[in-house]
Amino acid sequence: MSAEETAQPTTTFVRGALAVWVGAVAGALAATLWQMLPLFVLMRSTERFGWFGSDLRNASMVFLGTLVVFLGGLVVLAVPLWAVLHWRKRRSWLAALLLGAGLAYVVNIGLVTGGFGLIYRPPGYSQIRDAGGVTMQNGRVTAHGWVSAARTSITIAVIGGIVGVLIRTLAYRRR
Amino acid sequence: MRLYLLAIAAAVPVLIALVLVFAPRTDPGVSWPGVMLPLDLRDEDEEKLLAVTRDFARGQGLAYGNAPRFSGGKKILSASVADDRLRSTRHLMLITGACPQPKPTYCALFYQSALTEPGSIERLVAAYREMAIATFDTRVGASIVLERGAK
Repeated sequence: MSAEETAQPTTTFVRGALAVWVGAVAGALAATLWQMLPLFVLMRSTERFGWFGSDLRNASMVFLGTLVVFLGGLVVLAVPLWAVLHWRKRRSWLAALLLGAGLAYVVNIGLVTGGFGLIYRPPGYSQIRDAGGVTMQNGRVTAHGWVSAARTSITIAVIGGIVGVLIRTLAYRRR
Repeated sequence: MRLYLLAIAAAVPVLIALVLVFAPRTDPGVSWPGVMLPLDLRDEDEEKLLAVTRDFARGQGLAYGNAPRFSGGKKILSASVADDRLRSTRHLMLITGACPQPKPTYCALFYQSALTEPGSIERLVAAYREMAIATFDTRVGASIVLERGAK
C-alpha cells in the first residue's frame, strides 16, 4: 500500500450510515427552518389569529417530508456517487461540497418542476403560481417557472453542500 | 462514540416532529379560517369542491383557476382567484394537507396571506362547510387563505 493510499481517510459501514443519518436530519432541519422561520416571524407581525399550534404542526410535517426527501436522495443518489468518488480516492471536503450542492440543486429543480416537466403534469386547465407569477400553465412549466425553480434551488444547494461536508467530516473523522 | 451520541441526538427532533404531527388534536383542528375536509378526496368530491370555489369566484366577479397538487404523499388542492379590476392578484388556496407543500414559494404565499374583503371568506367557508357536512367525513383540517399579492 502506497503512502498516498494510507493517507486517505477511511470509514466503516456503521460510521458512514450514522453520518448519513445525522446529515439528513441536519439538512431537513436547515431546510425547514429556512422555509418556515421567516414566515413565522412575518406571520406574527401581520396576522391576528393564533397560529402557533398549527405552525408547529406544519413545520413538523415539512420537516418530516424534507427528511424523507433528504434520506432518499442521500441513499439512492449521493451514497452511490460518493462510493465511486471514495473508490477513485477523491475524498476531500471540496468533493463532498460539490457533490452535495450539485445533487441538491438538480434534485430540487426536478421536484419543483414536477420532474423537469416530464413526470407530474397538472391538468390542461390548471394554473400554478408562486409569488412572482405563473410557474405552470396548462400542464407546462413556464419560463418564469424554470427561473423560479433555478433561483429557489440555490438555497437548497447551499444546504446540500453543507450536508455533504458534514457527512464527509463525520464519516471520515478519526476517533 | 461522539457520532453515536450525535445520531441519537439527531433522532430527537424526528421524534418531536412525529409526536406533533400524529398527536391527537385538542382543538377543532382549524386555528385559522378553514373547513374540515378529508385528507384523501375522491375525484367526484374534488370536483364538487372545486365547483363550489368556482361558483364563489364567479359570484364575486373574479377569474378562477385551480390546480391539484401532490406533496409528501398528501393531496393538496389549491385554487387561485385573480381580480384584475383591482390590479392585484388574490390567491384562494384550499389545502387538504397541513402545509401547501415543502416548497418555499408556495409556503411564502401561504404564510404571507391576508384576508381581504370582510365577509367574503366567511361566505365561502360557509359554502364549504355546508358541502363538507353533506359530503365528507370530516377528519383533517383544511385551510383557506385569501391572499393579496403585491403587484
